[in-house]
Amino acid sequence: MIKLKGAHFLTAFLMGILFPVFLGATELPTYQKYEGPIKPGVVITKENWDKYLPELQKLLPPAKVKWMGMGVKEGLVTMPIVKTTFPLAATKNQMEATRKYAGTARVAANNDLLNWVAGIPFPEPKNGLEVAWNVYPLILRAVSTDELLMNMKFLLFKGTKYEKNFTMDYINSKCRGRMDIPPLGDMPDFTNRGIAFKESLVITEPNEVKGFVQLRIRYWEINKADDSYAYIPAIRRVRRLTGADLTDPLLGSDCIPDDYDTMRQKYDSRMKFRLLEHRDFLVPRIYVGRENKPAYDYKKHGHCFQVEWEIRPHWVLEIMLNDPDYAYSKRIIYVDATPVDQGGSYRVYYGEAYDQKGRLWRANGFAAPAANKEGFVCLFNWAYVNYQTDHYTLLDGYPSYVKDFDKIHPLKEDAFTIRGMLQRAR
Amino acid sequence: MKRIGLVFALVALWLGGSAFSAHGFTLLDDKLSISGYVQNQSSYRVGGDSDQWVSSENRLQVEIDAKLHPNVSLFGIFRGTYDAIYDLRSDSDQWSRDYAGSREDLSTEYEMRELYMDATLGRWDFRIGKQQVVWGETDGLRLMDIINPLDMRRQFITRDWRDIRIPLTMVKATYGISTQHNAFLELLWNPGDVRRDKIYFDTTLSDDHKSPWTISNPPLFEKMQIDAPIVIASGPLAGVPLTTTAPPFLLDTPTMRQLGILNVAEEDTPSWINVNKSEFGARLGGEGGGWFLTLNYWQGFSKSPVIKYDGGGLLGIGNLLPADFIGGTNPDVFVPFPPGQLPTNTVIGAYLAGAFGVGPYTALQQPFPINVRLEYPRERVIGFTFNKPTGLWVWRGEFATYVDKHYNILGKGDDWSPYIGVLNNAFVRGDMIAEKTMQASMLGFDYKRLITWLNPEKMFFVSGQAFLHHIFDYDEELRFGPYSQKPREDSYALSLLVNTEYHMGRICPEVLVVYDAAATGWYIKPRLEFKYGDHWRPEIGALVFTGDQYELPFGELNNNDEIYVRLKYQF
Repeated sequence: MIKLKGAHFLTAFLMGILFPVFLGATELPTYQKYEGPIKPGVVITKENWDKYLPELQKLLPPAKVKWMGMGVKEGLVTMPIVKTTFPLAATKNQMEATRKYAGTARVAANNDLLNWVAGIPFPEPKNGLEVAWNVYPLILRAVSTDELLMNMKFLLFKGTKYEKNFTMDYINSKCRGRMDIPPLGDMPDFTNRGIAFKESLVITEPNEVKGFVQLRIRYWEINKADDSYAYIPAIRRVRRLTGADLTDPLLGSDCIPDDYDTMRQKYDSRMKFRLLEHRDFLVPRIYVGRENKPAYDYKKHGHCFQVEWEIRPHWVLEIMLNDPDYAYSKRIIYVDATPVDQGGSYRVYYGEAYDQKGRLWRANGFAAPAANKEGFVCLFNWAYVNYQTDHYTLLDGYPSYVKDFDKIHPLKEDAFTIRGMLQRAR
Repeated sequence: MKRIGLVFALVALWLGGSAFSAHGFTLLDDKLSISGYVQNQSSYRVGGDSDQWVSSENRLQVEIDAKLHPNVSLFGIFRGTYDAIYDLRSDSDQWSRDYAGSREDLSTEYEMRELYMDATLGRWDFRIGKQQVVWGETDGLRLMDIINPLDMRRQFITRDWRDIRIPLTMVKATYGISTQHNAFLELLWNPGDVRRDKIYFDTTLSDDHKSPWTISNPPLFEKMQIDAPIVIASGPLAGVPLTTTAPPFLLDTPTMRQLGILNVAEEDTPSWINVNKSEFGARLGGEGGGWFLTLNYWQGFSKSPVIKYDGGGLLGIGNLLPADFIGGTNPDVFVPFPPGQLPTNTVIGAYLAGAFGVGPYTALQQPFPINVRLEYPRERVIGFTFNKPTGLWVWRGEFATYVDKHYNILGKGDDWSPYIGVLNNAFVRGDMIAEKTMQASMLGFDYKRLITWLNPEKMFFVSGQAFLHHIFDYDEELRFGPYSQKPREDSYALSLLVNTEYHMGRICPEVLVVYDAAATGWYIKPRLEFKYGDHWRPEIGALVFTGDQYELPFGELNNNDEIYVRLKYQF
């Protein structure tokens, strides 16, 4: 009898321990490799778009099907499929840090990340939440590493019709887990105050908003709102901004600050993370070096970019936001699932956001990833989509990684201060 | 000739605008960029005696930004203005009668508005040259934003202040104290480029020079009416004895100026680089615990004048009277037959008639004209500002203490003699100017929220402010500004700004409402801007003023309601 009780106890104990592990293990969906007719050598054109459409719907997120469909069917661009390559998508230091600190990070009950030092926190993620932390912009951003200077041009379209544009110089800098650009590690002057990230942008065109400067200081703590300041030329002075501007479109575009890097919204305890799928997607290939930047002419290519496409495995991550006061109800994030030891770095490829009624609203992501030979990844082209209104915002630019890197980095700290804003103010 | 040249330049740029495929253009490997805009703004006055077009202002603005060195750059703004209304309505009798006289001052202007060099040396940033410097947290009213004067000759204070601030040649040095706390020290030196607010009122410009935005006569000058048995020595009324209170003997200010009885002079603009006329300021700013604070100090010259007696007129007549007749030591009161008290005006009449045996007419030994001067005294302002975000809100505050603000001071209250005695007594006392401490305070908020049933794509921005101005050691006789308005001991005002954007930022409505609680005056500015395409930016809007007559800032403009249409082409 005693032995029987002991057996029951052992069974219950093992179930209690192993069942959650089992559940966690099942959160990683089975990889579904694409075996259809779209393969290297195929070129999607306006003539064969309809023929390949059922396959494209398997290989592209819904917003991208709509966006590219308009461009291809009007003959603005084609979609040549090329063999998948794996250029260096992470620096040597990033990989070393990832290996060095593997297994130290963990996720708390409130979804917060604990004990992270540097590198990819979960090189072998077990569930959606760990995948989400791997692509958290304060850790491993889709489009930059420790710091970035980028000249950007935003072009706005209604359908395929060009509307207007604005340009900006954008800089940012990480304060935690720096791996490539000195000072390395944490910057205690800032991390001691909880500051994890700083960014600033200056609008350079058109005249009506030229000279607008914005400074944002982001804290690691989930519940601590950003400090945000703007120098507004119309009033010729610096103004404090509310945290609410994170969901307000920038200058008539389809871009909101919380959509930078696909999703820059802070993770909170209300969110629920789930991996829906693990399968192949058609993605723009990575372009290495400025000399290989895809040519773009809005008069010729309209609201699309002429780039080459390759097939790569991705996770489809669902994030239920559970916040009725927020602009969106959920996000779907497409994360490159190429394992780290096979040349992957878990970059975000694309993201879609649904309104509070559950309708697909906005989407954004890479249109042409950029990199240098050292593995600094950024972008040449990015696209923001308003699925409901067929309004598009294209980002065309180049990062400092591919030009004058040594002259630009490390960035001057003053650029991320109010004094720096006043210096650039016009 | 100048006007023709400017018009030609405007038209050439306007037509040539289509040649710019993008915004402006850059040269020298992006080291030199040029941009700007051409615009026409036409305003239709719907208040006053009759509706009419009052402006068709064409403006060319060119902005040049040159990077001379990684740490040195040059920036300049050229602006040319041609108000075509003076030509378009030159045949109109109404226009000729009302406003044509201001052509010389307002029809054509061009200048290099701003031109400065930026240089960085270590933790110091220098900005040297003609520039605007703006302090404070306040929109719409000026508390700490007192460094540059305003040009209010066109549409008063309703325009963007960056367009109507008068840039000054200054040196601004900013030192970065701490990057962690966003702390900086800003030092400011104006080596003598002292300018004043530009505003027209009847006394500085005669009837012949009225513009659509001329402010009525200052009440102080309105009181300078002659009702005394004197004989004008020259002019159209030469030899006519003025002995009654009825016209033409009751002379108003413009007539007195025309007759040479009243001279209004303005303090000379200081010569360039006159250290004695320097202005200084400092601002210390920094962030801590989510609060951003600044401490401010400014020592400069008042931007609006006080009126100072400068000799002539009937100065000293009260003092000439025997003490028995003026109630002892008070020359303002005449007590010949107790217990009655008579105003000095009556005494003057008696005196001039020889009733006291020292006349007749010896008062005129203090001859006309009466000379007054608009002075801009040196003043000091100490203040601090704060802002603090909490969720969807940002709280703002600004507190400026004008340590020695200058006011005009009258002899007696408004209920005393409306005639020359008022001024005379002020003159007699010899101090038409009083220094008072004035506290100006503002508390405000900014709030941003998506209201999906009103606008599903763009947030509403709501900004509200409450103002309080308090004068310490208040005196009922105080008057201030070029309009010589009577200030209140405490005056309150409220403002509310709401805007959003529709159609992906292409239709931009905004409304600004300002309520002057003290004078029960309103100012409302609704406007609608359209941002289609890269270049054209049309806008329609209105200016609505209500309130008690003769009260600035709004009641005085009760008849100045306007509808305007703006067509802007940016390049």
